[in-house]
Amino acid sequence: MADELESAELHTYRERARAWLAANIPPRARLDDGSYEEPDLMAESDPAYIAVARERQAAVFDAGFAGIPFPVEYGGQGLSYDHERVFLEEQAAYDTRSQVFMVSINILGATVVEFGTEEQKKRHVPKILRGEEIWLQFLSEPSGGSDLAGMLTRATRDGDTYVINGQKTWSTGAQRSDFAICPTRTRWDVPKHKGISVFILDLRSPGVDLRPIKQINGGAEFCEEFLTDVVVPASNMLGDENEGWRVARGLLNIEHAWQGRNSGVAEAVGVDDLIALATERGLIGDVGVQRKIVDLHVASHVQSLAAQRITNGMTSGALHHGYGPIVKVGGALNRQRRAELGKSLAGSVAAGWRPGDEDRWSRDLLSSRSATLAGGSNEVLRNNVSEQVLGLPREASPDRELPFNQVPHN
Amino acid sequence: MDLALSEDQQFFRDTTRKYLLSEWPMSRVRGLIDDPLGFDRGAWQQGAELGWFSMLVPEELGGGSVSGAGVSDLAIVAEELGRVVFPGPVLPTNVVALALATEGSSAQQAAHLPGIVGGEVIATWAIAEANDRWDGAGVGLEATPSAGGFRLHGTKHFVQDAHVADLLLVAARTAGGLSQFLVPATAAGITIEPLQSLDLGRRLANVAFDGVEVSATDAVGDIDGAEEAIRRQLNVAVALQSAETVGALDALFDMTLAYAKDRKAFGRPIGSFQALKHRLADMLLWLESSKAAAVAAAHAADAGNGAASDELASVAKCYIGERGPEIARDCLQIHGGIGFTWEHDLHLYLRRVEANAALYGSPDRHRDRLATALGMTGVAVGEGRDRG
Repeated sequence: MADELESAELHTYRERARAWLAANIPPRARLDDGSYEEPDLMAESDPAYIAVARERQAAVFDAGFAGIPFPVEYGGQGLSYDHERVFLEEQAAYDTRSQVFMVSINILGATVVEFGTEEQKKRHVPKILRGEEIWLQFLSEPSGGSDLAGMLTRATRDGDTYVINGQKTWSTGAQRSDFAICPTRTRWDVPKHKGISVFILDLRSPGVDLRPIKQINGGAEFCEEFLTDVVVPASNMLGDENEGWRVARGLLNIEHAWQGRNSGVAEAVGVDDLIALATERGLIGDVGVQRKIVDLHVASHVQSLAAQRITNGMTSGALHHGYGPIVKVGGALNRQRRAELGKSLAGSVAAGWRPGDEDRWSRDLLSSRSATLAGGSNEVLRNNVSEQVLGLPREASPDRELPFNQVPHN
Repeated sequence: MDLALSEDQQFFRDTTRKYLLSEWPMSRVRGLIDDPLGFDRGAWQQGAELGWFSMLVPEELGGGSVSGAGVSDLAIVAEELGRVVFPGPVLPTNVVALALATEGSSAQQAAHLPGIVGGEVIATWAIAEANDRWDGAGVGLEATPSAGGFRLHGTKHFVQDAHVADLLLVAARTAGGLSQFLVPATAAGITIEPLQSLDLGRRLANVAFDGVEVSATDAVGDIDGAEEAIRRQLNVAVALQSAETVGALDALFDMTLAYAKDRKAFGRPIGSFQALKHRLADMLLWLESSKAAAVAAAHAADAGNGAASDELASVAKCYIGERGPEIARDCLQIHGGIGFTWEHDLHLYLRRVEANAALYGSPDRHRDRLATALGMTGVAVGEGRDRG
């Protein structure tokens, strides 16, 4: 349906992508009902899985399908977000293992392009796109995630280096990663937004201690990180000293825009598996069930259209750049609705099953709960949109103008 | 609404908007509420000059669109009409123009299209019946062969502005399928029963056909062969209705946002409370999603009458038919008591949005249509589940 109405140029690009993927990447495994088998929750921490992922990303890069909207001078293709969407739609059927590089390329690679020095860009971006370097972000801290600017991790200047001490958490895929973008506090005697500096941190540096966090769905893709006297060259600073809030905010804008672009594609998964489930459970003749499945189909289709509209609008300047988060809010809610409906249709089987039997609906229900938290909770994103796009006033926040060392915190 | 309008389309939108904003303040719309016709025939002429009735008619038949994509061009007008809750049957008149342009004989086109495009003739679409289906399957009005052609028996429901229409396009069941007839509203045997209307800028009527005589040359398209045309007309009508609803919602949302910034309580603007900020952020998501769905439905209708147009018309109707009223109801809630008063304009918008959600097939009807398209056929859709 998607390609029935698209331009000839995009259609040609789609066919080229489809042909290349078919010839070079194995298809994703499918379950009996036709849906894709999700990778094992622990697979993404398995070095062998990651090694194959890196090989496939290198092949994608060498074929000219990596970093589609990135500038050509840093290894990208210099094409539009529509081209990127087309490739994402096509690759959904193939085991590119691209989820390993999603954050690294689309959020952190893009952040380096926007805020890095020429040397930082030349040195890192092509390697990020090719999967030779995997990056992650150290944003949340145990003292707070939503209040990002209230971070407590400290960086102290020492000659040509900085020494970093503190603790970060909820970092996705830290075990497999090579570099982190790490905001720190470099001044404590000014308000919280004015004393932040951001560093490129080599995760093999002495003093970086990564510990996986076990999640409610049994996986451990998150880590907490303890940073003890980690030495970073001053040349690894991203953006200017004490001006790091601009970089952190920019990173979040890039993240929200990416989530918007990607949520439209993620939504294009269809409802065939839910129809199969309802059929197997003898519920498909129930008009109420049919309508619930249709509602999800409608919500997914519209979410995908809205993501395209808002992405194109932000790119052309017709829409404020702050629109990105609402797409993420909508995509996250749809993700959860889908899991909730699957679990509900599965009935008691979602509550008890034989060892080894399919537990996908209960697992998906648990996994989906992170959708409205990870990458900015829906509540914080609604605040961002209502302030940046709608121009509504902030709630009173007593900490904004105080020097940070006078602000009460956890 | 469409963020990628061509320069010509933007000019077209701006011209229509400028005319409506200067000539159609809400006081004028309100002035027609108690008018016997509820509608201003003089304005019809001005609309025609702005091209409101030519977009779905090809140039060789005296029409012409702005971009070659007539439904999308007309959706631009529909959105602007929604912004001012414009009265009158602009949408159904265009549906009839589309039917004549694509299905009509050259004699019918020559006789009727110049008048419709020029604004002298008003036409409306009589499709729905008591079963409220609005599609071909719901058509029960019978056209039985007679000496002069056919005789129409049955009643059409919720016909928009039938009381001011010169022509009615009537969907009928014939021996071997569906047919459409173009009938003068004054034909013998027609009784127009006005209904009370939720939308104060729009009148509805039930139209009874008691043995109304039509000739075979009044058929628009082939006898027994109108199914495809009716499907297309419904897809186009829903696309245009979606654009109109979005225009009304956009105006209502702007009005509500301004109020939330302006109105103070507890010493601060009410829009500074997170309870309202979060609500307004969600409403913005629904509004932008509605815009995306409406634009896609119009584009798909322009691209042809395939599965994509069916899908996107019903997706737009399901989404906008549910979220639209939610947005409008939230706008009233945020306005507080003033939003519940007759003198505030809010209810004129709310009424249009709520009425549009119900007409041209309820969201549930379109859910059932999508269920069938998705292969969910556990229960034959429509069988024994008519909601009258």
